[in-house]
Amino acid sequence: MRKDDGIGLWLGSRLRLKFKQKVRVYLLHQLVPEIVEELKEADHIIFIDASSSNEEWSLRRLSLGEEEFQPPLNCDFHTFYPEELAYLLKRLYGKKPEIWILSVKGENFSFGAGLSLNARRLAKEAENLLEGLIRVKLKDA
Amino acid sequence: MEQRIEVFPVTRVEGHGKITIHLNESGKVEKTFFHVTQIRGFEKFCEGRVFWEMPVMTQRACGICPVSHHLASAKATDKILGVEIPPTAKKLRELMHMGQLVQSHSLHFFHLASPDLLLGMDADPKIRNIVGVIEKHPDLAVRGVKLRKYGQEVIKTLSGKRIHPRFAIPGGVNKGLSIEERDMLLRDIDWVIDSLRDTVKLIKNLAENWGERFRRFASFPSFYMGLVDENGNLDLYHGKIRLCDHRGRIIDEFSEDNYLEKIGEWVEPWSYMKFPFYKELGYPEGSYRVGPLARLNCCDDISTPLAKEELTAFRQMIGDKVAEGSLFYHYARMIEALHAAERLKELLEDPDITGTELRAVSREFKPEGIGVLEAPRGTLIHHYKVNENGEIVKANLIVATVHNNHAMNKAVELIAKEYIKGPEIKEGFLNMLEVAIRCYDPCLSCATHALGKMPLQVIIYDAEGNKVNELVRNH
Repeated sequence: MRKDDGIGLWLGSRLRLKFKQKVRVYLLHQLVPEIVEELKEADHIIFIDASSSNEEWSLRRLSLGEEEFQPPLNCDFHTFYPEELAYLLKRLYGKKPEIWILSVKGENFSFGAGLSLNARRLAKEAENLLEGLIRVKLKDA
Repeated sequence: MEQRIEVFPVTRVEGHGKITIHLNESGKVEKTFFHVTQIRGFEKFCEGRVFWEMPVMTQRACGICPVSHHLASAKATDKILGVEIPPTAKKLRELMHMGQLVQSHSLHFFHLASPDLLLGMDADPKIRNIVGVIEKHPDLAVRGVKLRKYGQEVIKTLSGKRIHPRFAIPGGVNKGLSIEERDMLLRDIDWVIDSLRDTVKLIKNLAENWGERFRRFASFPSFYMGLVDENGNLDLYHGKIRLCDHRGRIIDEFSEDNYLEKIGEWVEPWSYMKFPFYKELGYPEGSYRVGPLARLNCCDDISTPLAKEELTAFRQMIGDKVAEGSLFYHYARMIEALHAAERLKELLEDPDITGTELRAVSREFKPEGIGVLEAPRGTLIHHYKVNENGEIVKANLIVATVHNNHAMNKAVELIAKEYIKGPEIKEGFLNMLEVAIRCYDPCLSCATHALGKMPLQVIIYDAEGNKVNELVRNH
């Protein structure tokens, strides 16, 4: 509905087709706390979303060091972050999966379907990188 | 010298609110206001759209209770079509509604209310939050996550989406339930029922242990409104609207089609949220409460066995049919969640639920339709008028939080009067204000919109409007 806001959906759908049974893909309207019930089984998690920052795309690993972790839980459920899910996984299930966050810059978030040309280009670049990362993780597993 | 205190925004509610407290010259509370500070305009931008779009469009008012709007809207559009929907469609809609009740009530109890109840209303706000609960009671936090997941799973199974479903349509629903899907939902239902029963016992123990403090917190007499079935039992999906007084006496019962004759909406210049009232008594005398406690206060009984048992225990504990303390909302909410889970099981075990007749068809439409149901937070009314092309010419939505507007204002007034006596404000005042409002689980998103984090700010002004003090709390 919001054009480039669908970058995560676009990438997730393509990864689902490429990796079929090997990778479980969840396409969500928003992050919700109960998704931890699904994520608790995972060793590696990649969150993908559109970004409005100036950086074209970024892939960063979420650090879950005991000493540096400050639970950032929100007061409401309208906004929920990967860090919060990581906290829930750790505290509720004792799980510390390897977590990556991929952000891809969108330029058009107005009403409409489909990605802008630039967003599609960036998403494809990010897709190549992600594919490489997933293949390495699958090989290691 | 008159002083004014502002509390803005109010935390751990869905949406934005602000509280101002006006003190008189001796520093005593003169008047209080719970403001809703943003306008939505949903009713206005429904105008000109065709009525069959309403179930999808109006649910966008909220990300927490979209199902309630979706279904109330669909019920109103059924009326425009002038049809009775097939039994399977009706049961499938109710199934979705019960899933919504389980997830929403669980969300509220475990995420929003439990920090106050489990860690104490006086606990430091730095730890009196969901993180504090997770650290101290991880088992309960897991239970909350699983219950919410189950409720969301019911919604997703029926509509393909956890949030903002596309399922109910004018005249019925657009998808049936397969036997495999039914069996999948049945698999965990006994765990859901057991968990909710344990949660009812947990809050019952809390209420007993807190004793008078629980009973008297933000307690005041009022009228109560809720749906009941033909036998007077609690009904969350359909039924007649019942209004009771503070002793549980039935004041009125009426069909949703007559709500405009019975319910008026008062407007105050200081809030975008209106103040509904029972017309025969006028405003504010005819103000009433809705939601879990109001529904239990109104109904004669509950049809499902375990919730019925808990309602009996609840009434024995309060020694009356009607509880007036605002904290009892939390207790009532969990009894309702238990009822919703039992009802889910009943519906899933009903052979009709996997039926294939899903929609009633009509080739003409009536000029208006009204749909009502009990949303998690209270009675929800959708009313549309259409022209000959089926385009909406007028939409009126009275959402649960709006019905409770007067009650929340009253609760704020009571807390303020208890904690502000003279120029000094007693420790814990802000906590109590938040706790009082949170009892009503207000979804200001439905009347406004929610986004972002909510620090707490208190500003004190003197009679000339000069800021004399400011307190800020960042959660």
